[in-house]
Amino acid sequence: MKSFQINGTAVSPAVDFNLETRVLELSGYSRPENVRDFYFPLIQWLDELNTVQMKNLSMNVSIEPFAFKFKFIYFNSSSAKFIYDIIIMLNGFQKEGFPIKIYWFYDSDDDELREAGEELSDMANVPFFYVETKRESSTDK
Amino acid sequence: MGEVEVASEELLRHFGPLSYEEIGFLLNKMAALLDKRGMNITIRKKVYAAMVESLENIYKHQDHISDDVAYLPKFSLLVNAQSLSLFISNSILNHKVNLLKSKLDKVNSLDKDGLKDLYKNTILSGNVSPKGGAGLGIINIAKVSENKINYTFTAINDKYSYFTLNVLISLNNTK
Repeated sequence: MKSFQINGTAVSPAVDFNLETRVLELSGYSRPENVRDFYFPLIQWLDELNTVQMKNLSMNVSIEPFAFKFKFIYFNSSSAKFIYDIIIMLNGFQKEGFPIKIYWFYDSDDDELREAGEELSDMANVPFFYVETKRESSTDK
Repeated sequence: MGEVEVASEELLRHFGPLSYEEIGFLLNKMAALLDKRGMNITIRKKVYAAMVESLENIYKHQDHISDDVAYLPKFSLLVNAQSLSLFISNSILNHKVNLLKSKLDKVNSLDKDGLKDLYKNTILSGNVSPKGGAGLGIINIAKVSENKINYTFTAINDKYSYFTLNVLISLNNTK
Protein backbone atom coordinates (compact mmCIF):
# COMPACT_ATOMS: atom_id res chain seq x y z
CA MET A 1 0.00 0.00 0.00
CA LYS A 2 1.25 3.47 -0.90
CA SER A 3 0.68 6.98 0.40
CA PHE A 4 -1.94 8.92 -1.52
CA GLN A 5 -1.68 12.52 -2.66
CA ILE A 6 -3.81 14.83 -4.78
CA ASN A 7 -2.98 18.48 -5.36
CA GLY A 8 -5.60 20.96 -4.21
CA THR A 9 -7.45 23.27 -6.60
CA ALA A 10 -9.90 26.16 -6.21
CA VAL A 11 -12.71 23.59 -6.09
CA SER A 12 -11.23 20.45 -4.57
CA PRO A 13 -9.16 19.88 -1.44
CA ALA A 14 -5.55 18.81 -1.31
CA VAL A 15 -5.27 15.21 -0.17
CA ASP A 16 -2.17 14.10 1.70
CA PHE A 17 -2.56 10.61 3.12
CA ASN A 18 0.96 9.88 4.30
CA LEU A 19 1.80 6.40 5.55
CA GLU A 20 5.26 7.41 6.79
CA THR A 21 4.16 10.25 9.02
CA ARG A 22 0.80 8.52 9.72
CA VAL A 23 -0.94 11.83 9.09
CA LEU A 24 -3.96 11.87 6.79
CA GLU A 25 -4.90 15.36 5.72
CA LEU A 26 -7.60 17.08 3.68
CA SER A 27 -7.18 20.81 3.17
CA GLY A 28 -8.59 23.75 1.25
CA TYR A 29 -11.81 24.16 -0.70
CA SER A 30 -14.31 21.40 -1.36
CA ARG A 31 -16.94 21.97 -4.01
CA PRO A 32 -15.86 19.54 -6.73
CA GLU A 33 -18.05 19.31 -9.80
CA ASN A 34 -18.63 15.62 -9.17
CA VAL A 35 -18.32 15.13 -5.44
CA ARG A 36 -18.75 11.34 -5.60
CA ASP A 37 -15.94 10.93 -8.15
CA PHE A 38 -13.68 12.98 -5.93
CA TYR A 39 -14.38 11.34 -2.57
CA PHE A 40 -14.87 7.72 -3.62
CA PRO A 41 -11.14 6.95 -4.18
CA LEU A 42 -10.36 8.50 -0.78
CA ILE A 43 -12.91 6.29 0.92
CA GLN A 44 -11.53 3.24 -0.90
CA TRP A 45 -7.97 4.09 0.18
CA LEU A 46 -9.04 4.49 3.81
CA ASP A 47 -10.85 1.19 3.66
CA GLU A 48 -7.70 -0.49 2.35
CA LEU A 49 -5.65 1.11 5.14
CA ASN A 50 -8.02 -0.30 7.73
CA THR A 51 -7.81 -3.76 6.15
CA VAL A 52 -4.00 -3.66 6.42
CA GLN A 53 -4.18 -2.49 10.02
CA MET A 54 -6.69 -5.18 10.96
CA LYS A 55 -4.44 -7.80 9.40
CA ASN A 56 -1.52 -6.52 11.48
CA LEU A 57 -3.67 -6.55 14.57
CA SER A 58 -4.76 -10.13 13.96
CA MET A 59 -1.10 -11.16 13.67
CA ASN A 60 -0.31 -9.37 16.93
CA VAL A 61 1.79 -6.76 15.14
CA SER A 62 1.44 -3.53 17.09
CA ILE A 63 -0.18 -0.76 15.10
CA GLU A 64 0.81 2.87 15.41
CA PRO A 65 -1.86 5.52 15.85
CA PHE A 66 -2.79 7.80 12.95
CA ALA A 67 -4.04 11.38 12.88
CA PHE A 68 -6.71 12.60 10.48
CA LYS A 69 -6.55 16.37 9.96
CA PHE A 70 -9.41 18.26 8.39
CA LYS A 71 -8.08 21.65 7.31
CA PHE A 72 -10.95 22.96 5.23
CA ILE A 73 -11.39 26.59 4.27
CA TYR A 74 -14.80 25.88 2.80
CA PHE A 75 -16.90 22.86 1.90
CA ASN A 76 -20.29 22.89 0.20
CA SER A 77 -23.37 20.95 1.19
CA SER A 78 -22.73 18.15 -1.34
CA SER A 79 -19.29 17.59 0.20
CA ALA A 80 -20.70 17.60 3.74
CA LYS A 81 -22.33 14.21 3.26
CA PHE A 82 -19.05 12.62 2.14
CA ILE A 83 -17.07 14.28 4.93
CA TYR A 84 -19.62 12.87 7.36
CA ASP A 85 -19.21 9.41 5.76
CA ILE A 86 -15.43 9.60 6.24
CA ILE A 87 -15.87 10.56 9.90
CA ILE A 88 -18.25 7.64 10.46
CA MET A 89 -15.72 5.39 8.77
CA LEU A 90 -12.86 6.62 11.01
CA ASN A 91 -15.02 6.03 14.05
CA GLY A 92 -15.62 2.48 12.86
CA PHE A 93 -11.85 1.97 12.55
CA GLN A 94 -11.33 3.15 16.13
CA LYS A 95 -13.94 0.73 17.38
CA GLU A 96 -12.20 -2.14 15.57
CA GLY A 97 -8.93 -1.27 17.32
CA PHE A 98 -7.20 1.02 14.82
CA PRO A 99 -6.38 4.18 16.82
CA ILE A 100 -7.00 7.34 14.82
CA LYS A 101 -7.54 10.81 16.20
CA ILE A 102 -9.54 13.44 14.34
CA TYR A 103 -8.28 17.03 14.29
CA TRP A 104 -10.48 19.86 13.01
CA PHE A 105 -8.58 23.00 12.00
CA TYR A 106 -10.35 26.32 11.68
CA ASP A 107 -9.32 29.92 11.31
CA SER A 108 -9.68 32.10 14.41
CA ASP A 109 -11.96 34.40 12.35
CA ASP A 110 -14.16 31.58 11.23
CA ASP A 111 -16.62 30.58 13.94
CA GLU A 112 -18.88 28.97 11.36
CA LEU A 113 -16.20 26.50 10.32
CA ARG A 114 -15.59 25.56 13.95
CA GLU A 115 -19.35 25.12 14.37
CA ALA A 116 -19.48 22.95 11.26
CA GLY A 117 -16.86 20.72 12.91
CA GLU A 118 -18.82 20.59 16.14
CA GLU A 119 -21.96 19.61 14.25
CA LEU A 120 -20.18 16.79 12.42
CA SER A 121 -18.58 15.58 15.65
CA ASP A 122 -21.95 15.65 17.35
CA MET A 123 -23.76 13.91 14.49
CA ALA A 124 -21.19 11.13 14.21
CA ASN A 125 -20.77 10.94 17.99
CA VAL A 126 -16.98 11.12 17.65
CA PRO A 127 -14.80 13.54 19.63
CA PHE A 128 -12.68 15.98 17.59
CA PHE A 129 -9.58 17.84 18.67
CA TYR A 130 -9.95 21.46 17.59
CA VAL A 131 -7.01 23.47 16.35
CA GLU A 132 -7.36 27.22 15.94
CA THR A 133 -5.14 28.78 13.30
CA LYS A 134 -4.35 32.34 12.35
CA ARG A 135 -4.94 33.41 8.76
CA GLU A 136 -1.70 34.25 6.99
CA SER A 137 -3.13 36.55 4.35
CA SER A 138 -6.17 38.80 4.05
CA THR A 139 -6.59 37.89 0.42
CA ASP A 140 -7.94 34.43 1.13
CA LYS A 141 -11.40 33.90 -0.24
CA MET B 1 -40.95 51.54 12.53
CA GLY B 2 -41.03 51.43 8.74
CA GLU B 3 -38.03 50.43 6.66
CA VAL B 4 -36.35 53.21 4.79
CA GLU B 5 -35.82 52.44 1.12
CA VAL B 6 -32.07 52.44 0.45
CA ALA B 7 -30.55 52.73 -2.99
CA SER B 8 -28.62 49.65 -3.97
CA GLU B 9 -25.67 49.34 -6.27
CA GLU B 10 -25.26 46.32 -8.50
CA LEU B 11 -21.82 44.78 -8.04
CA LEU B 12 -22.07 41.71 -10.19
CA ARG B 13 -24.46 40.19 -12.66
CA HIS B 14 -24.77 37.16 -14.87
CA PHE B 15 -27.42 36.31 -17.40
CA GLY B 16 -27.58 33.15 -19.46
CA PRO B 17 -26.68 29.48 -19.19
CA LEU B 18 -24.37 28.78 -16.29
CA SER B 19 -21.31 26.56 -16.64
CA TYR B 20 -19.27 25.18 -13.75
CA GLU B 21 -16.34 27.40 -14.81
CA GLU B 22 -18.59 30.44 -14.82
CA ILE B 23 -19.45 29.81 -11.17
CA GLY B 24 -15.74 29.91 -10.28
CA PHE B 25 -15.33 33.08 -12.30
CA LEU B 26 -18.23 34.78 -10.50
CA LEU B 27 -16.89 33.68 -7.09
CA ASN B 28 -13.45 35.11 -7.82
CA LYS B 29 -14.93 38.35 -9.05
CA MET B 30 -17.14 38.63 -5.96
CA ALA B 31 -14.19 38.00 -3.61
CA ALA B 32 -12.09 40.67 -5.35
CA LEU B 33 -14.95 43.22 -5.38
CA LEU B 34 -15.82 42.77 -1.71
CA ASP B 35 -12.17 42.78 -0.71
CA LYS B 36 -11.70 46.07 -2.56
CA ARG B 37 -14.58 47.52 -0.58
CA GLY B 38 -12.91 46.45 2.63
CA MET B 39 -15.56 43.90 3.55
CA ASN B 40 -14.33 41.45 6.13
CA ILE B 41 -13.64 37.77 5.71
CA THR B 42 -16.83 36.75 7.54
CA ILE B 43 -19.03 38.63 5.08
CA ARG B 44 -17.05 37.35 2.11
CA LYS B 45 -17.35 33.77 3.30
CA LYS B 46 -21.09 34.14 3.80
CA VAL B 47 -21.54 35.50 0.29
CA TYR B 48 -19.22 32.81 -1.04
CA ALA B 49 -21.28 30.04 0.59
CA ALA B 50 -24.63 31.52 -0.50
CA MET B 51 -23.35 31.90 -4.07
CA VAL B 52 -21.92 28.37 -4.26
CA GLU B 53 -25.10 26.74 -3.00
CA SER B 54 -27.48 28.81 -5.13
CA LEU B 55 -25.43 28.82 -8.34
CA GLU B 56 -24.57 25.12 -8.09
CA ASN B 57 -28.24 24.51 -7.57
CA ILE B 58 -28.95 26.21 -10.90
CA TYR B 59 -26.08 24.35 -12.55
CA LYS B 60 -27.24 20.95 -11.31
CA HIS B 61 -31.00 21.20 -11.24
CA GLN B 62 -32.09 23.81 -13.76
CA ASP B 63 -34.92 22.82 -16.07
CA HIS B 64 -34.15 24.36 -19.44
CA ILE B 65 -36.67 26.11 -21.56
CA SER B 66 -35.15 25.96 -24.98
CA ASP B 67 -37.12 28.60 -26.82
CA ASP B 68 -37.40 31.53 -24.47
CA VAL B 69 -34.31 33.57 -23.62
CA ALA B 70 -36.16 35.75 -21.13
CA TYR B 71 -36.16 32.91 -18.63
CA LEU B 72 -32.52 31.92 -18.71
CA PRO B 73 -30.65 31.76 -15.40
CA LYS B 74 -29.94 35.13 -13.86
CA PHE B 75 -27.73 36.17 -10.97
CA SER B 76 -27.03 39.53 -9.42
CA LEU B 77 -25.28 40.80 -6.32
CA LEU B 78 -26.35 44.17 -4.94
CA VAL B 79 -25.04 46.20 -2.05
CA ASN B 80 -26.39 49.05 0.04
CA ALA B 81 -25.40 50.51 3.37
CA GLN B 82 -27.16 47.77 5.30
CA SER B 83 -26.78 44.56 3.39
CA LEU B 84 -25.63 42.53 0.47
CA SER B 85 -28.44 41.07 -1.55
CA LEU B 86 -28.24 38.14 -3.95
CA PHE B 87 -30.90 37.49 -6.58
CA ILE B 88 -30.78 34.11 -8.26
CA SER B 89 -33.34 33.08 -10.88
CA ASN B 90 -33.93 30.04 -12.99
CA SER B 91 -36.76 28.25 -14.70
CA ILE B 92 -38.28 25.24 -12.97
CA LEU B 93 -40.85 22.63 -13.91
CA ASN B 94 -44.21 23.46 -12.33
CA HIS B 95 -44.54 20.07 -10.71
CA LYS B 96 -41.40 20.76 -8.64
CA VAL B 97 -42.66 24.09 -7.31
CA ASN B 98 -44.64 22.84 -4.33
CA LEU B 99 -41.83 20.72 -2.93
CA LEU B 100 -39.29 23.53 -3.26
CA LYS B 101 -41.74 26.01 -1.76
CA SER B 102 -42.34 23.76 1.23
CA LYS B 103 -38.57 23.40 1.81
CA LEU B 104 -38.15 27.18 1.70
CA ASP B 105 -41.09 27.77 4.03
CA LYS B 106 -39.69 25.16 6.40
CA VAL B 107 -36.25 26.84 6.67
CA ASN B 108 -37.91 30.25 7.00
CA SER B 109 -39.91 28.99 9.97
CA LEU B 110 -36.80 27.96 11.90
CA ASP B 111 -34.36 29.86 14.11
CA LYS B 112 -30.62 29.19 14.21
CA ASP B 113 -30.88 26.10 16.42
CA GLY B 114 -33.80 24.79 14.38
CA LEU B 115 -31.73 25.12 11.20
CA LYS B 116 -28.84 23.27 12.84
CA ASP B 117 -31.14 20.42 13.80
CA LEU B 118 -32.69 20.27 10.33
CA TYR B 119 -29.20 20.22 8.77
CA LYS B 120 -28.12 17.36 11.03
CA ASN B 121 -31.29 15.38 10.51
CA THR B 122 -31.07 15.82 6.75
CA ILE B 123 -27.55 14.38 6.64
CA LEU B 124 -28.38 11.64 9.14
CA SER B 125 -31.48 10.62 7.19
CA GLY B 126 -29.20 9.54 4.36
CA ASN B 127 -31.50 11.08 1.79
CA VAL B 128 -28.81 13.30 0.39
CA SER B 129 -28.06 12.54 -3.25
CA PRO B 130 -24.59 13.11 -4.72
CA LYS B 131 -26.03 16.26 -6.29
CA GLY B 132 -26.82 17.56 -2.84
CA GLY B 133 -30.55 17.45 -2.95
CA ALA B 134 -32.87 17.07 0.00
CA GLY B 135 -32.64 20.81 0.56
CA LEU B 136 -29.23 20.77 2.27
CA GLY B 137 -28.14 23.71 0.09
CA ILE B 138 -31.17 25.76 1.07
CA ILE B 139 -30.54 25.04 4.75
CA ASN B 140 -26.94 26.17 4.29
CA ILE B 141 -28.07 29.38 2.61
CA ALA B 142 -30.45 30.11 5.48
CA LYS B 143 -27.71 29.39 8.03
CA VAL B 144 -25.20 31.80 6.50
CA SER B 145 -27.76 34.49 5.66
CA GLU B 146 -29.30 34.69 9.14
CA ASN B 147 -32.28 36.36 7.44
CA LYS B 148 -35.46 34.93 6.02
CA ILE B 149 -35.10 33.83 2.41
CA ASN B 150 -37.37 35.71 0.03
CA TYR B 151 -38.58 33.93 -3.06
CA THR B 152 -41.08 34.17 -5.90
CA PHE B 153 -42.43 31.72 -8.45
CA THR B 154 -43.82 33.35 -11.58
CA ALA B 155 -45.79 31.10 -13.92
CA ILE B 156 -44.35 31.11 -17.44
CA ASN B 157 -46.75 28.60 -18.98
CA ASP B 158 -48.49 25.39 -17.97
CA LYS B 159 -45.19 23.56 -17.76
CA TYR B 160 -42.70 26.01 -16.32
CA SER B 161 -42.32 28.73 -13.72
CA TYR B 162 -39.53 31.22 -13.16
CA PHE B 163 -38.08 30.91 -9.68
CA THR B 164 -36.28 33.81 -8.00
CA LEU B 165 -34.44 33.47 -4.73
CA ASN B 166 -33.37 36.55 -2.79
CA VAL B 167 -30.78 36.09 -0.07
CA LEU B 168 -29.91 38.96 2.27
CA ILE B 169 -26.66 39.17 4.19
CA SER B 170 -26.64 41.94 6.77
CA LEU B 171 -23.49 44.04 6.93
CA ASN B 172 -23.79 45.15 10.51
CA ASN B 173 -23.50 42.39 12.79
CA THR B 174 -24.95 39.18 13.29
CA LYS B 175 -28.31 38.76 14.75
